[in-house]
Amino acid sequence: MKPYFKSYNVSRVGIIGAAPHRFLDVLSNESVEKFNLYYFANEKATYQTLVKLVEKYLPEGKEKLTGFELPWPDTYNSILNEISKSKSNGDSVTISEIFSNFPNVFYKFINERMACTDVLWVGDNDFDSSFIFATLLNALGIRYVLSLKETRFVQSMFEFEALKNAKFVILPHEQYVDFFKKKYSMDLSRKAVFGDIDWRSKVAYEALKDANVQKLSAKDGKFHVVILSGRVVWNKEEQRSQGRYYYVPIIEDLLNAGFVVHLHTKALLESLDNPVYYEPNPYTKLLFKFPNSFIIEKPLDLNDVENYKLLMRYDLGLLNSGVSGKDEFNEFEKINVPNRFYEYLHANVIPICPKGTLQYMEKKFTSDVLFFENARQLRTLLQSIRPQNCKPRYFFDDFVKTLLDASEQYY
Amino acid sequence: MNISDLYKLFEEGKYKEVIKFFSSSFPETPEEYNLEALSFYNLGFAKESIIVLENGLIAFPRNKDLLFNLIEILYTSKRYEEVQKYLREAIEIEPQNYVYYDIMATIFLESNNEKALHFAQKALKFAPSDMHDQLVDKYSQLERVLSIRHENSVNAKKSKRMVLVGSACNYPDSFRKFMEDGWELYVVRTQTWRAFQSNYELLESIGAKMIDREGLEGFLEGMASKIDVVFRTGYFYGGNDLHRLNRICDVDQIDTFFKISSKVKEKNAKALSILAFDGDSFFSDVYWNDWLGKRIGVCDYIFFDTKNLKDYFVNRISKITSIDESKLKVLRVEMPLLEDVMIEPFEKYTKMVLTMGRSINSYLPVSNLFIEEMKEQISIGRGKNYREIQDGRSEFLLKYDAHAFGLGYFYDFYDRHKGFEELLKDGDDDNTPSNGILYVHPSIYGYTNVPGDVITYLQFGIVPVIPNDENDFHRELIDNGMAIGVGKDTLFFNPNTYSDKAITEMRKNIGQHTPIFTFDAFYNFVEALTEGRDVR
Repeated sequence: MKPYFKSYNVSRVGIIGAAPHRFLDVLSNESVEKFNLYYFANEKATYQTLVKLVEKYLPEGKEKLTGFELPWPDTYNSILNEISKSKSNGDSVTISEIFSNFPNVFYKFINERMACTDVLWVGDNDFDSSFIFATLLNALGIRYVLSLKETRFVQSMFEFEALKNAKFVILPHEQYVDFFKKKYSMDLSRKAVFGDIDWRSKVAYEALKDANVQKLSAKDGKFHVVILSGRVVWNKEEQRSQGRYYYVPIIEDLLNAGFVVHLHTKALLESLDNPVYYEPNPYTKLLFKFPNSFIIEKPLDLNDVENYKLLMRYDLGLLNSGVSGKDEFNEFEKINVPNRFYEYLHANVIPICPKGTLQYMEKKFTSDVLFFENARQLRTLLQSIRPQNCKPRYFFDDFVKTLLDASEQYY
Repeated sequence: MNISDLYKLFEEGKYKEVIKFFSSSFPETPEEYNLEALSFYNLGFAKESIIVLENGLIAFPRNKDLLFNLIEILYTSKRYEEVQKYLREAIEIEPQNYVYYDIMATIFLESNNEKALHFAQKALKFAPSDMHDQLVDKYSQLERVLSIRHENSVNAKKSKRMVLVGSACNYPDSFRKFMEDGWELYVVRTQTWRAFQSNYELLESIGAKMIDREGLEGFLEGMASKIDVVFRTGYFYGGNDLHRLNRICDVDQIDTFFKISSKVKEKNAKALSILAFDGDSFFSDVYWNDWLGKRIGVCDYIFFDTKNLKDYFVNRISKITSIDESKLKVLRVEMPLLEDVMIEPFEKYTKMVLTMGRSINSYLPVSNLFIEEMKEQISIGRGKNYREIQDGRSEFLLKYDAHAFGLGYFYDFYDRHKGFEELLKDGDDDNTPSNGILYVHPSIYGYTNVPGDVITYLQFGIVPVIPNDENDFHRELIDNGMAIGVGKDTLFFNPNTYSDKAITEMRKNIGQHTPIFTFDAFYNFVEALTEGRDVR
């Protein structure tokens, strides 16, 4: 007798974001019959990357995937601007004013196409405008599932609405429930399930596992530390990021302790307030001081799965600068599991982190991350570690299973 | 002092006394206004006399004597623009007064404008016999200046005659092109003419001669042998009662056209019979298709607004009768004249989407915030008379010519599941999507129609926003960069994303492709055909 097997039409609204290969795991899931990806207008290139990844690593899944570029958040912003122009003496614009002025074909599309699915999944955070879309869905009486990762300890109407109205919420871990209880006095415990949107693709991991990349340390006997950071600054007094991107002291500490440090960044700036580059700067001074141990590398595009082979060469991956941000960020950082943690695991690179910033991780991820007071202590800790044991415990495939299981449970 | 005393003073040349009288007593009749004005004029005060006459016309609008004097004085003062403005009104009131045509001809002659010929012909036509020779001499220079002929000269070309059965629904004033070039236009008022009374009035105001049903037999008796073209333009609803509910005039009109064509051809074998179907035509009803198919053989040419409409016609009517496809042409008739196209570039445009009515009853990708609905009734393609249309076009230009975009018709665009060929193949041309917003037209309509509003936008250089679909008229506009084609996946049209430069570029494209949306192609075709030139 054949077991009962349910198949799902899954629709996802929101940004594709980092590591588009994660979505290979949606397509590889046998229970997913169709995957409609409604991505936002500024992510056309990322979607094309995903299509190429599917063609390369999962060609049999290509038929399942349908992409659609949503004019979002352009529609929302343009209408908001237009209404604002017509307001005099500082009258505020209401959400219903904005939503009621969308083109009628926009509603038609949402009602007749997007809503016609088994699982309508919206995500992932308050900054990518997907929560505004979730609020619109609720206004139209359409039920959705919400995934959430990044947040701040500052109240946001759209985050609140998106959480409140979701059928169920997929949060990275249970501490988020307490976080939102404190933030909104909102109890999500009855509709929260757990899975991290940053878990990496099992399909991609399998494709890379036989890559047989030699570590750089095998050549020179030194530990090579990689730092992946979108931005890096050298003004520690800067206001906007409060030093979170200020890597000078930790790099110097690592270099002094004999580590080789590879900095991969897209932007090396004085500060976010004054985003300029000039020389000399503290980083170029370090280059001069440690000519063979500090290397400023080209940015690493990990949207291309092949580039993980470059990351695999390193032994250790730094999770953050060790500098806490202001309170609203710091509160979140306490429960955060940074995206690059999964990036390092995916490439068999041991995550390392200065103590005191990622408090949740320090409790829950002791076997996965080396937390250290200083670089000399790190050297000591490394003696007891075998890099080969550094593997991801969860994949995005597990996230998809959570999504589908919960969809049954919260029907 | 009574009027006869005033006349006496005037005849004695005591103009100052006449003026003195009116300084303490306002004129009360048109005659008094004239006396005061002419007194000023005779004393050399033309400006003052014009003011008096203009005041007189406020008190006594359309008074022909006041108008006449005003035109004469303005003309003498070389204020030609104002002369033309009043001449149009005067010609409406006294269409047979040769003086007006003579003034018009003289003004155009001074600027070497070819329109001089038309008005010279009119002046000769209505001039009293004692003036005729004098005018012929005066206009003989037209030959040299304009290198064209007029009908009353020794070598004059024979005047051509067209019978228009029914009125054109949109832009009937474009038929003036024929009359300006020496044609005589006879318009047959069909059974339901009162429903379109203003169109007939407009045709009459541009010089067409009206023929009522009662007078039709007599007209044909005397004129059938002299008719060159019998023409009818309009729609055919194929007997679909739903769509004919309010406007049951297609079958009667076409039937009249067939009958007149047969009679004319009996008397004049060279006469041409041309039937034009506009985009509101549907060939879905077997009974009425059969009726049409059995009669259509009399036509020398059949015109269609779009290629799709032509293909639709062939697909349906060829089941009834064999069709000589060389008779079928895509040629749009109910369009503005090229000279009425008014496109100006602007440095800055109003980034709004203008709509003139029904187009907002569909699913649209445009937010209400970006739609500006034209609230006022402005006569552009239709009106009671030519003057009203001219005023309407000026008013429209004044208010809207800097608007960047015009909203086209989206019909059932967002609910369409079948392509044009598929609709024809499946015989599914008359389905109405149940979920369209107030959408009542058959499914084929979006593929075959040329919306009148879009033509008006183009006339003024306003860039239409239209569905990017298989409608070949839409395709022509989109492929030539004259319109913005919106795909089914476009959920939001943001007018602000188009730069002023890009809009100017599209305006230029519109200006460079006027044959797509003007009457002149039709005129040239008929003109060439009746000259005996090869037009295929």
